[in-house]
Amino acid sequence: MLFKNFNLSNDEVLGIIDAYKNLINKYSIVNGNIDEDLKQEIILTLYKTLTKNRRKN
Amino acid sequence: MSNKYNLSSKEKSYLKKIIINARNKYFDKNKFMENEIVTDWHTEDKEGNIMVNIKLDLSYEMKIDEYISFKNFIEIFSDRKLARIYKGLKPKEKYILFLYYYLGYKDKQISKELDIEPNNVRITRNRILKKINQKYLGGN
Repeated sequence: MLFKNFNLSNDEVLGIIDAYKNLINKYSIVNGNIDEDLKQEIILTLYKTLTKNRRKN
Repeated sequence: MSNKYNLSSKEKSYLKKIIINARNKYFDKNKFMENEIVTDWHTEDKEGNIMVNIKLDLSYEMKIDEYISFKNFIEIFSDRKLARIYKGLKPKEKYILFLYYYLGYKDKQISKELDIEPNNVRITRNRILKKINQKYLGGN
């Protein structure tokens, strides 16, 4: 099931974010430097998406 | 870590899709950044030599250097933390703050200098101040 039906715990989400930090950093690069705002935005979007079903249960 | 959280290939591609969408959304929200994104970072001449285009980014700091050495300008800050936050801003943001607070330019003059709408200058300036505020109080 895709990401346990988007019902991951905080630890799991943080673990995934940590595991894929290189990918996140790669897509946070603007003009050769990591844009911290963009990085935060990506992490926030990931968190929201991966926990979007949590409240419904 | 990837051993602990083994994601299927479907999940991995989904993750990548989320990241790319978040990035695109961010650029849509911050349209003023479009000029700063390097799309043509190099050109190639007939002999195949690659010339790297150093974009606007550097030139903003060079513009500040025309008035005062950038290093000296940083030393004006009595608060080291604030100076560190200022140093971490994007070149364009640094230039806007420099023009507004150091040279005392009005928004209209800045808009002429950067070739953008005066309203956008105000919005950008407020956004920068908010960002500084958050970083300063956030303890970064």
